[in-house]
Amino acid sequence: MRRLLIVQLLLCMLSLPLLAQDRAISGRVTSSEDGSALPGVNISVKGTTRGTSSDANGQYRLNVPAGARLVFSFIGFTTQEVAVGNQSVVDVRLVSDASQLEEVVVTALNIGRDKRSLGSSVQAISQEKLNIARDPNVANALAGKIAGVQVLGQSGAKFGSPSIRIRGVNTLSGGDPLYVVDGTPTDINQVNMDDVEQLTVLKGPAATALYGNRAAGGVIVITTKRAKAGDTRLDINHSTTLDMVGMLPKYQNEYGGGYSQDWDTFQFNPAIHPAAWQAFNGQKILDYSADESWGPRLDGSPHRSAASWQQGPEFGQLTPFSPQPNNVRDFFEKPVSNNTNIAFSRGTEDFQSRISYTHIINNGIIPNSRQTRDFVSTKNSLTFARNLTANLNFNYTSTRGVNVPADDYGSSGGLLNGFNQTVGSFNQWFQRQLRIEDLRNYKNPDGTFRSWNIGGPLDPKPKYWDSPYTQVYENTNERRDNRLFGDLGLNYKFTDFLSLNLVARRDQRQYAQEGRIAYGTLNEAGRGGFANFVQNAVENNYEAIASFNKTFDKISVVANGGGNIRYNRVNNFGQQTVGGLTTPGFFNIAASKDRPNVTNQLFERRVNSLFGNVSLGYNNIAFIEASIRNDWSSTLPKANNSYLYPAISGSLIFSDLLPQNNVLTYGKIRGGYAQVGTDVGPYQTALTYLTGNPYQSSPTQYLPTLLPNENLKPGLTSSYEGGIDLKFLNNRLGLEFTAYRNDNKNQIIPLPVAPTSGYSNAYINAGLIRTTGLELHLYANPVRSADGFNWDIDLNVDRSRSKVVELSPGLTNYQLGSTWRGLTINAREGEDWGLFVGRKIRRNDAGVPVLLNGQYQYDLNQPLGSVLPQFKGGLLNTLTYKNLTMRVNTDFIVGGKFFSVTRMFNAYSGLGAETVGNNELGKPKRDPVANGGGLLIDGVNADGTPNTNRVETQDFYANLFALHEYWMYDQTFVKLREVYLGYTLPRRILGNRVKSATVAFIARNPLLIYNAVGGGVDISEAESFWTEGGQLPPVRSFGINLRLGF
Amino acid sequence: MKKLVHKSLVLAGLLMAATACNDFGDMNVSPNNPANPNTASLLTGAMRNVGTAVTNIVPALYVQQFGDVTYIEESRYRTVNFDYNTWYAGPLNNLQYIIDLNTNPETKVAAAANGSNNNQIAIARILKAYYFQSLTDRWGDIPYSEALKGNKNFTPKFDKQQDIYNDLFKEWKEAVAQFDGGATVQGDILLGGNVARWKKFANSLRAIAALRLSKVDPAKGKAEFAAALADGVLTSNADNVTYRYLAEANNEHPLYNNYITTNRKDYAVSNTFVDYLKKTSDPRLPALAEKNINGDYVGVPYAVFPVAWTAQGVSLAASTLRQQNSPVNVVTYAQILLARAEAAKLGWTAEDPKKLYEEAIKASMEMYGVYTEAAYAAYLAQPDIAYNDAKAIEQIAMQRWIVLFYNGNEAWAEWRRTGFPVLTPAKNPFNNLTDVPRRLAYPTTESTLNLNNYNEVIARQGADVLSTRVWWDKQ
Repeated sequence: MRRLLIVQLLLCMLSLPLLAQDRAISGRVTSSEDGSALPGVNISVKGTTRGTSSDANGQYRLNVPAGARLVFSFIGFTTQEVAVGNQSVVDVRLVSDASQLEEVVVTALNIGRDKRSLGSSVQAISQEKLNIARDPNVANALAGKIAGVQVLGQSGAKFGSPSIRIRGVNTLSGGDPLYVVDGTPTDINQVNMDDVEQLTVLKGPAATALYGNRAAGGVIVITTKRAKAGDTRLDINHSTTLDMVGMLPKYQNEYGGGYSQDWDTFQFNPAIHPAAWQAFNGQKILDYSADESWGPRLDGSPHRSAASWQQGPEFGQLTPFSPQPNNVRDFFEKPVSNNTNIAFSRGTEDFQSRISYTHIINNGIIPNSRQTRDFVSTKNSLTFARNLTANLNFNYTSTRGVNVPADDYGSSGGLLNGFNQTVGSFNQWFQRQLRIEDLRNYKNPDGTFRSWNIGGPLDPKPKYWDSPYTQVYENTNERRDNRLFGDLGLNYKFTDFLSLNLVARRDQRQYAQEGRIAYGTLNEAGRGGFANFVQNAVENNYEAIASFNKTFDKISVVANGGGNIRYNRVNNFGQQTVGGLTTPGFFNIAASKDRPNVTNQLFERRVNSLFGNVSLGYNNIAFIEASIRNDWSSTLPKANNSYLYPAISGSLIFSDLLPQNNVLTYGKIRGGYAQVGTDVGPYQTALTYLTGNPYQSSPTQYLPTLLPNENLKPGLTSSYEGGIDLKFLNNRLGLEFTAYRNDNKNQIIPLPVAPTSGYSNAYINAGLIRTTGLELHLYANPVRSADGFNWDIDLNVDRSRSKVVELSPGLTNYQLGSTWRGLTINAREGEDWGLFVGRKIRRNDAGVPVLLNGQYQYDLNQPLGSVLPQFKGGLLNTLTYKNLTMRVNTDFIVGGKFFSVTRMFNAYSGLGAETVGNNELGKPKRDPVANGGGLLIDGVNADGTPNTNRVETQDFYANLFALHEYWMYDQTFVKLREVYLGYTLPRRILGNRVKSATVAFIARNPLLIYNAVGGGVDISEAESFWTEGGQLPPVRSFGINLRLGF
Repeated sequence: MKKLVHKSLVLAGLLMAATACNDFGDMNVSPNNPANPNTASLLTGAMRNVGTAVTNIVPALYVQQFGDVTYIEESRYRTVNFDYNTWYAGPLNNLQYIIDLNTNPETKVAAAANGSNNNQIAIARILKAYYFQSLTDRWGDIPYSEALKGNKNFTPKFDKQQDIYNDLFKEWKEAVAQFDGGATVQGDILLGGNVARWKKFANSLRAIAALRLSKVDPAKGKAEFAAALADGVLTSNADNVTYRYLAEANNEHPLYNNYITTNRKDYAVSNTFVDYLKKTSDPRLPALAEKNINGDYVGVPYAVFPVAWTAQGVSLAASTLRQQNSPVNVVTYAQILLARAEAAKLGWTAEDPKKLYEEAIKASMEMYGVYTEAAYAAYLAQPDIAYNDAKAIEQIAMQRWIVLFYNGNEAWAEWRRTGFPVLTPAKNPFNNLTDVPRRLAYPTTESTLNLNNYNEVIARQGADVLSTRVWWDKQ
């Protein structure tokens, strides 16, 4: 610093003679984005060595010769030239340049690096491209924005958090990436979107090796906003959205509930019916116990609804049997949700502090459901005695979910999570003619519950379903998730090239959930129930890292070395009533009728690590980097618990070797090889015995069905990648292309084995999964006009294929999952990962179905294709015109198979539109075959003659049940995810106090442009990557966003 | 400055050293589950499946004791691949483990705290053989000699049913002989460690298994039957082996669960069964079936689709046999009497088939609590019921069909062996099955995880479909 001052002083003295002819100008440099001051902008007089930089308020002062041109340059912004002319005040607004912003990226060990020097594939995204439409979830907002990253979303109706896959299949069973926020590993869903400054995805192990054994699935590094020296800010960011159901299946509205189109009539029987019911004799009644819609035609004829057999004014009433096309849609709410952030930040040379608070009220589209979130964070840095800096970063996230609805098949669920009595009914088991008003009236004055699905006139007990309103208003649940993460660190600079960093990090979770089943409702034998679950989890990381960074002439050296101790502790406590509640309305474990079920678990693990990393650069053109890390895991057998793995990569900026030209601005080739070791969860090496429910006073014990293994070895992922980065026409066009191969070897997996061995799974080191892939990130700036119009395009496309090269001797198949009657998804030797195997329609050599009695036949255990998409990606368009900015984000998947349970039951139960209408004879499909109804399936008989056998429509769909091939779809979709249209108010109308103001229209999930599955199913929000069992509908949001800077 | 560097490096060094990198003490020892086995608790756990073996509803649907009420599925032979995995990676493995713990010199002393080693092994062997028989009767050839070996063999081969039966006879025989005068076995929720009752149970199972060979190997059957009889079978209803469910949700009767807890009422007594009992004015009908809402005994129409009735309109199983804590019959005296009657009729023994047949009816009426002298006499007086030597095999089989009500596995096996009652197969069946199934197909895990052995067994036994016959089911 002192030396720098001397140099400046000398420069000043040298320029002294010139000063007399110059004149002084001043001005302020601000960001075009939000009008904020830009400190530290480099301002030079073109063609001279003269220059200065802006101060903390963006102000600058400079003496310039006549006719001078000023050049304003600042990292992350487009360099701007201004002719001074006669002006004495030159204010400049710099336009941010995303392609430049990405140049400095935070990589392993939370160290910011010039992207130029990296030999592995790293893709970063700035907050304005991430936070387009104020999605409260950072992971959701990533969809389509990074090549090779797949967001497996969950319906917004359950406030779901997605999971993320980087470069497809990293392990036999998938593989989550590691999320690191300012160096602290945590859960991406706990991160405040408004705190995110930059998000970097480290894709290949070459970039991630330093993160250790959890990084085999890639790493997502999030850097949060910090106060800048010399800047004082107060930012408010608020949005209000109107949320609504995104889409629903196409329902039929021609037939009502029942199994038969023939009307049943009430038969009065004095032995069992009250005398007054004699008047009902002969009235049309339904099979109320049926939860399908193969019943009579909705002809408007007077009938007795289920409601008319229950207490209240509707008792005894006849109502018309008529269509209710909007009954399901009317169930859903159109709530308003709010998201408000306020952030204070102030920095000086020695002290920087940012304090941020966000409050989100997210009201659900399912009645009575909501989620509130509070994020509190602070980021502080204090420098003492020039060399010593203390840092404290602290993030607290509190999430409260109230009556979060369950999804998945039918009314599946449980005491804790509730039962899917909403879409599980509407889309799978329902009577189409039900009036939503009748369902809304779910409770009798005497406290008993009403249902549309009763046993009969004399049996008002719900058969398979409560009213959906009973579920949402009476069978309630609550979740409280409190998360605290952050770090406390000291940094000491020995010299300007050597420093030591000591950091203690913690990620702590306290989670409590409880669920209630009201007394007298369907589940728990009508006796009510209560369950709770509490988790306390802690992860501590203690790290010490020494850093060296110095350039010797043309050789630059960046080296880091250190160690880390990680400790995890998870405590689970679960309790559940058994056999009902002794006291209705008393939701407590003490009310359990029988001995309650309890679980009480503790999991502990520790990983000790030492690591080192050296990067050498030559003349800022060629770079080579090597890393090595050794981990010791407590969860591995002692003999095998130490494992070492290296990484090496290199890059060459070849454009610097070429003659200067106007076409190729920048060109880099890179390549790398790395390994990452992996361990296993706690307690998988020694046999222990499970405790079951006792029989009276006799306790029970069982062998586990998963056999532990005392000889486990660490798994190893080897990865190779190469790529090229090109920028053309002065950054108007650029691309980053990467090809990679990951070999996952010796993974520790609970391998399914023939259960006749006594165990259904055994922990072993198995397999070699080879994933190869291509990734392309293309960006372009096709229009950049003088009048302020700018158009930026980001296109990400990737393709990833995973093949199972080998499993384990004698074993050729690893089952990843199974569903309805033997549909399995598998990792099978020699095949693409994610192979579906199930029932396939029998066809002749020409591919024509071979029918029997007019129906499809099928063969069992047939391959039905892989879940892996052909390719996927996203397209982000940014258009600015003067103060207007528009961002449109779209993502897509092409190919890959998917199984839809919703579609299967929608047809099976006669709810879907495809089950009605006319057949090719012009007769209603549902009319009996004898009357010209029914269906004629395209196909041939066993002897090859064309099929002439018509089948009843109801039989047709009954036969299609679990005929897996029929319900498999391509995943292909194109989804408009986010739209932003914002107007930045001109500074002149803002006054003195307000620095910036932006008003925007935002939309999330506005449109599913193309969807191969159809039928109201959105696979981008499925419960799992290969099937949905009964998904909640997507949520579509429109709203406004207001940003103010003070 | 230099000092500070020095100090920092020492600090960093200490930090690393303190971790003692590779030594984690007991951190990876699970605090969540016991590391030591308890053979009494393992036995109780393995015995909780006895009720499951008896109350299996699918074969009870096949033999038309029951019918589907709403979802007309298994009565139309919907499922092909049935799962036996929970038996192997479950009670069978636990029973084998009890035997191992009582055999291994390192563990047998500790295991003896729960009863003498021999007594524990004997009970585990009898029960294990009982479970294995119920599996082989349903699936035919199954993994047996190479099964339950854990990581020593993850792909057990399939044994021929004949070999399995030979071994089952040996197991029951040896187990009965293995009981010693040592300490009573703890954790025996089935027979309370009563050695005499275990012996009768084992001998009775052996007799029933012997009769299973009546068509395929009568000589072997005859010899085993006589030997089992001589060793002592059940001699009164007091000897009946039952599995008792409990009046609590974790151990409740499956039909209580289906009818009351979940209110599903998926299964009712079939019209085939109700109509036969009505036709013969069987006094046992009220003990087995319940009247419908209108006060009539109406069996659910068997395997008719689409349905045109509700659960209220048909006869559910009688409430007396499906209370939350109702017992279910594993082996009964009446069943043994019928076996002895048939063996006598076959000439395997010198006993009087007529006397045994009539005693069986009486024992059965007593068992269901409907016996009166008058009712018994009236029932026996009916021409269809009165013993008729020419139709004795059929008459015995018809009684067995009633005695084995809601013991589907056994009822289905006996129907396959004898062909009685004569059943009309489901109309409009799934899977193009034109006849009542004669075995269950293997779980899909065999074709995915044990393919070579699976291919071998199919080549030997026949296609892996419901219509293939098992070894003893000779045409």
